[in-house]
Amino acid sequence: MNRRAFVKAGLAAAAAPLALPLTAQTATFTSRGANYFTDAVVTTHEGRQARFYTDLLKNRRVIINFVFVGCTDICDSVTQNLVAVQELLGDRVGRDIFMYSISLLPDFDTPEVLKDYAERFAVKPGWSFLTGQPAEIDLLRWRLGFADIDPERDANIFEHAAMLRIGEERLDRWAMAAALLAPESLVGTINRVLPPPRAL
Amino acid sequence: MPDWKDKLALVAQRNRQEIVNAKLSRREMMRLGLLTSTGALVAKSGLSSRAFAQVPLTPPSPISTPWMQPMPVLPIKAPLSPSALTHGHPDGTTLIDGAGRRINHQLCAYDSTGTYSGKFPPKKFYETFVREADWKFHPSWGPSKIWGFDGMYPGPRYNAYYGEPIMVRFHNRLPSRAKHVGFGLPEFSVHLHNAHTPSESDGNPVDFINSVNDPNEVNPLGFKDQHYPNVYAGYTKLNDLRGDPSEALSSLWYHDHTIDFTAQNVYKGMVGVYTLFDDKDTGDETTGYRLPSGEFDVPIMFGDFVFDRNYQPVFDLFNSDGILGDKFCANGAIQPYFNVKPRRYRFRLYNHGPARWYDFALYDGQKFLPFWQISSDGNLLPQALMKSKVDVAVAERVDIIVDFGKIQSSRVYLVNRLEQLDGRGPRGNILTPGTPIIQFNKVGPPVRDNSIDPMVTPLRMRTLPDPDFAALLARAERAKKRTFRFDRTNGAWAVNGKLFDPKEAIARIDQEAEEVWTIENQDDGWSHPVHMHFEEHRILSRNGKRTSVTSSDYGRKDTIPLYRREAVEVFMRFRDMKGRYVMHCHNVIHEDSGMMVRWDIV
Repeated sequence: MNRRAFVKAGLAAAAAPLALPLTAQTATFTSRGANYFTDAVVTTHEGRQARFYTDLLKNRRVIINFVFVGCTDICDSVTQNLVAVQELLGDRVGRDIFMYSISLLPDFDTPEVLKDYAERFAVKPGWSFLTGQPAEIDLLRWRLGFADIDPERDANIFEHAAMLRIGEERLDRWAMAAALLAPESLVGTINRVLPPPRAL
Repeated sequence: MPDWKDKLALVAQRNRQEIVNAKLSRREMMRLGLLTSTGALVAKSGLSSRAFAQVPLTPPSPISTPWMQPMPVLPIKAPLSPSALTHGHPDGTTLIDGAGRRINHQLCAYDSTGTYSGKFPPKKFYETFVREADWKFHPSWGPSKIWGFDGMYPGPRYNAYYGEPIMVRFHNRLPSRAKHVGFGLPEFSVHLHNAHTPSESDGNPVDFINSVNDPNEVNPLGFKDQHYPNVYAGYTKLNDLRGDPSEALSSLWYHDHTIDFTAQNVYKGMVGVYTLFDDKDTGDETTGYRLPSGEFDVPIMFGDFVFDRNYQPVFDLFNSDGILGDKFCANGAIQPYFNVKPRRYRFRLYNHGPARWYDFALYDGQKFLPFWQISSDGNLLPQALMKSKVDVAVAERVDIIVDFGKIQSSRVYLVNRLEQLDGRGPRGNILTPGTPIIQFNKVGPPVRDNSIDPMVTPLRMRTLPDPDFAALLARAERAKKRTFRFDRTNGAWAVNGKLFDPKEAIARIDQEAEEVWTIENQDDGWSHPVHMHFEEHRILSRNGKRTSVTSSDYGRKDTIPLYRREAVEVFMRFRDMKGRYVMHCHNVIHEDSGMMVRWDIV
């Protein structure tokens, strides 16, 4: 689906900001943890359930982006690019680095849909596509900085599909990168933020 | 109303109650900058750009009573003999590419006989240790952790002189990156903004160095030597190794520029002052232009922060619009006082950001007071201009002369009149009186003042390199044109729709070429302070309107305040040196998000 068809189909409304659970609003940046990142229960494309912070983020080095299956113009290019990145990172993915692609349209991107999508791109282990409750996913999107303070722009979900968040939760070290940089450049950025563990 | 707006209203109410409980009078509240003249409470929560954005509100910083501490005066850095430098004399090489490669300096060399040669052999040598330190932002507060040059925020002041090249050794003594927790990456690449500097010493974003605590094979000792020729631009064509004196720079500053982490590291405290003198701007008020000198020449660095309840600076790592603070610092002190003698002062106003735009004015409690603006981006103007306020976007500098001898009030405030509600830039609303940042107290009897009085004798300073604007426009006609759109695309800040790729030069420019660049912002949602490295430029037009002599655009600039829906045409030169350089948004959060391009001089 291209941008115009998407808007025409009125699907943009499905991505409009939703009211947030109150408990999630009280955290501060100095005590991040589950208060900030939330322990929203998400489902992977393999049908496993996980708490976002406790199971997926805590003590991990991660690469996170947002994606939706119905978006063919940018998301597919990004996914294709990340396949190359996964290739270059080799067996670090799944051991030292975890990749998460979170759905921007969780109502449409069921685990089954995401599984097909992951298979289409021959995604390897260590990279999970995640879906969940729309309100919780939307909050996660804001918390991870894939949002726009202008509500009109924010409603255009294509705007959130071209960036990568790279970070190490334990050190509270976070950076952002363009998801469509050449894979070699992206791996350079990833290695800067998440240097490979030293070979012993 | 959505939930988050309710929540916001609640917080605002609680803040209001807190102020009411403190039993402050309306006047006190005005003085504290808590109330605007219209009676509205200033937004008291920090990081306000995301206060509206469905993320948790950062609690406001702890209370800090204003005017409790003197404004620090930056110490002047002392040179050393080259052999006294830690790890020995500079050997004519320096590190680039993430301390992965070692190359020779372009414009100076060290030979086996132990002497420095090349076009600009260094005559003075310095070293600075960048390290974590405790810093007191306010006397009633506990210490805050900063990363600073020589452990200070801001770092020390270098007094440099044209015709006297220097070498500075930067030691990275920051904590190990394997252990450091929180914002900031303990690697840096120091940029001397906006010196005419060889590429390998320019602080290119990819030329960062590791800490000694994270040794690598090429840089086990964690230091880098940077060479500052202190030469006027244009020496190649003039063939004199001196250059064109009308290209002189005065108020420069240095700061970290490391790729992806500049904003975090600048917010950690990695900024400092570099002032450059010559036979006209002499640093002695009895000679040359006779500008106030010595203790009466005072650089002031402005920065705004949010602190947590333990007095540690808070950086919202997930905000890509720009971090706004609720505490205003001058030379590292929150709302300090500064005792002045009844005479003229030269204040060099620096805005190190990260994202705040200022509009400075002097206020005596009743009215705004006039002062003289003598520079634009730290470059002395052809003549002093009388002003009642000056705009200073992130990274811009303005030197002003204030004559306390002629001011009646014994107490005057430097205030920021520009309202800014989010990191994307101001919307032009001017506050009265604004937020007070420095309290000037006039003390003591009249003292000797040898500086020129611009009221009596017109203060004439640097003529422009191209004083004939019509002739400059004719040259611009013939120059190569390029357009750079500073834009937001796919959730990130971009230039011409692309994010920074350090491996891709978007322009390859012949040395000595002249070009006209159009810098555009087509949107009305944000502003960008756009900075070009290497040489000062001239602004030819703004939105099609030719620059007028009385405009603040008239002069030599290195940073363009690019407001909403604007196109600015600038005349650029690329003289004397070769190598890779960058242009970027100096809202450093935008820079890190990708709003930067590399261009090469070949």
